[in-house]
Amino acid sequence: MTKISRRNFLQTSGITISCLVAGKVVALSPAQAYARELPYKTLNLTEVATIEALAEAIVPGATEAGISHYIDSQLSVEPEDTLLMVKYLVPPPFNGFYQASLASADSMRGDKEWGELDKEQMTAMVGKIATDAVTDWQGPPASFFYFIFRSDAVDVVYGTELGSKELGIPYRAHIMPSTNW
Amino acid sequence: MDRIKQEKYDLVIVGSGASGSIVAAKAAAAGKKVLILEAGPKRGLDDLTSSQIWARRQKWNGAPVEEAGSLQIAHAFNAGYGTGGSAIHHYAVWPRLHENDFNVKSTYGKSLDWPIEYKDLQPFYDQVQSEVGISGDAKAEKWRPAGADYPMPPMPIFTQGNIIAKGFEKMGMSTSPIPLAINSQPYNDRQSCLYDGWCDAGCPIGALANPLVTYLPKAFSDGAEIRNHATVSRVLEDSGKRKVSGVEYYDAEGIAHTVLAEQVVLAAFVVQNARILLNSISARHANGLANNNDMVGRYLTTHPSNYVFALFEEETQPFIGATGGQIMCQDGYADKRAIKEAFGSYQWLAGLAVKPNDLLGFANTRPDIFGDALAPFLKRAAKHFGSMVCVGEDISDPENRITLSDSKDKFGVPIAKAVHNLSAESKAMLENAVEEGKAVLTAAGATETWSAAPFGMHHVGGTVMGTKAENSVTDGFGRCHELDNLYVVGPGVFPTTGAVNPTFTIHALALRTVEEMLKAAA
Ligand SMILES: Cc1cc2nc3c(=O)[nH]c(=O)nc-3n(C[C@H](O)[C@H](O)[C@H](O)COP(=O)(O)OP(=O)(O)OC[C@H]3O[C@@H](n4cnc5c(N)ncnc54)[C@H](O)[C@@H]3O)c2cc1C
Ligand code: SF4
Repeated sequence: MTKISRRNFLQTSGITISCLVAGKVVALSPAQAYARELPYKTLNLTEVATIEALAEAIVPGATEAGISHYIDSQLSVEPEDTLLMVKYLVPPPFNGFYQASLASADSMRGDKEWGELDKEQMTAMVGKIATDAVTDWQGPPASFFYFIFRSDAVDVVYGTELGSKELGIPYRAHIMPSTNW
Repeated sequence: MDRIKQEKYDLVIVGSGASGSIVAAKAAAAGKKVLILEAGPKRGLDDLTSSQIWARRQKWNGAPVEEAGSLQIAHAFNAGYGTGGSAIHHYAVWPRLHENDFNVKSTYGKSLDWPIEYKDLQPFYDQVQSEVGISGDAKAEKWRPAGADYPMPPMPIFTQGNIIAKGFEKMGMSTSPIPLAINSQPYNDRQSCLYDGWCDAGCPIGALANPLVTYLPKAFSDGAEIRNHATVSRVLEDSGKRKVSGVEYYDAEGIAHTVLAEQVVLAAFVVQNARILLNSISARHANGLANNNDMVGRYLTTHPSNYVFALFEEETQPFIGATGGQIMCQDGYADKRAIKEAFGSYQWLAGLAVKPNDLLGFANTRPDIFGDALAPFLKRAAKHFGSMVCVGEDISDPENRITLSDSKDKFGVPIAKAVHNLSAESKAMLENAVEEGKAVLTAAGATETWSAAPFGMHHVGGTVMGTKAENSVTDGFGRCHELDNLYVVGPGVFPTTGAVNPTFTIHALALRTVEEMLKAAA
């Protein structure tokens, strides 16, 4: 039997996004990937903009925590390797689930850019998605997408050691994930 | 796809989780040449990273299951994959079934009877309890059926548990510490719990009884072998006899192999056990093995369950303790007909240690809260939250069943379809329980209470045991009625669910099965 008697003493390889920096492959957390504006593997820029606008309106802080790189990286691996919560709730592949829902959400902004919508408008839009009140919504039910997407955003903001600190509770890991979230 | 191997073992076990691991350990200790075929990857304690995001790696990653019905079994959440199975990250709540769970049909005219009684299982419960270690307070469990005292004192009750216990007391109800297969003190060379609530991600220090620290090390030290990424597709009939000759499995490259064995044990959990049998078609068994009476896949059950949540004025420290909870109440157990128009026993598990994120995290208990209101709610919940879950009894219904779909997996094997509907009487039982739970939390001083939607906790049935081939798949030892050397272990053989978590009973039954198998082989 392997015995692990001290906390935090094993570092496992974490959820990382690999990229080339100065000719070397380095592993970055989604938040670091966001800060460095790393390219996306699966999502297009319209989808990224939708993710960030919605996630920020649902879980403030999600954009900076790297929500778009989190979803992009987890949709870019084989479905069986993904860490997104969606894997409990719908059969693979998962790209269609996100892409159809994001396209529906994107069409809600009309001619405006996401940045042109104020807080009140974003709140109203999220409220409609959460309660299936969007006409012409294509893809999985809007409220189901909302539930999973909100959970993704909670993952990156509060499902980490930093997130626990923010909530004022101890993380107390046995084995610390090697990235910060 | 080529068949490149033909090997011979005394015993092939399909699946390395709760049930497969104990069978492997006992058979290997008896000198049998044992091979475990495990569909998922190799896992060790150092894979159990403390993160609710990382914990998702351990969930089911095999062929998807098509689901339908009003209370679906949530296969991908409830099933594990890889060495140790679902049991690697189960919460170790280990109560026993009660005497009245074994004769539901004869007492109430519904569900099924078991072909055995509590007293047949009691010595096996006692043996497993002593080998694995359970922390509990037998005297405080006034509902507990006869059995040896727990080998370890109960786990401590922390603030959340104490607060909620007062609510039960005010309502005139009883509580006890939950019997947990977690070390409240060092036991069997395994250290004690640190009460940090990481059980769902898997306990890497060995305090919680998962197969990686209980029966698998014993099995391997006595010579059992395990082959990972080995997905069994069929059990092979020994033509012309009431016997099977071995199994067929696919490796990670999609190459088919045959392994011959004197005895075969299916320990691949509820849905996959049924799927393997249904897919084991031969000239004599056009509907699959052990299925001449169309019983394989029938009586699929789950524990109809419901959470209730609360916020308290005082700090509850909900991050402390084990994920399975601190206190238990089984006042709703003895009379399955106690509530008008409802049916089924139920128990409460309360004072669960919670994390902020994931399906069962406290953020998801209020999905309606978002935007600026979210952080204040989460900060309050992080310190003032309380929760309890009602685990209810299902009604065994032959129409709730596992069948084969027309869709196939990557090996060309039909995937499983699982249909599970909640009966009106079970729904009424849950609705009553939710009201009771909210009343308990209010009596405990909650400033607000709320509940979630009903859900199916645990998988049970599909290959039920019974008295004859016309009403069941296996006999009381888990041996298939129609095949003398094919056995099924795990919760799939339970004819009824009872209202307690199944893994202690899974171990006790599997121990009884392997002892019988060893006798039969001798
Ligand atoms: C989050 C969670 C918490 C739980 N908490 C509790 C609890 O507190 N108390 C309790 O009593 N129970 C609990 N359970 C339930 C418990 O984990 C299961 O009931 C138990 O593990 C079932 O044992 P098993 O041996 O039948 O299956 P498992 O332990 O799941 O093992 C089955 C194994 O078979 C493998 N397999 C499947 N198909 C094939 C195939 N075709 N070929 C080869 N291998 C295959 C799987 O990969 C898996 O490793 C919990 C479950 C979950 C998911
Ligand atoms: S609470 Fe105890 S049993 Fe659960 S993971 Fe922590 S140490 Fe292990």
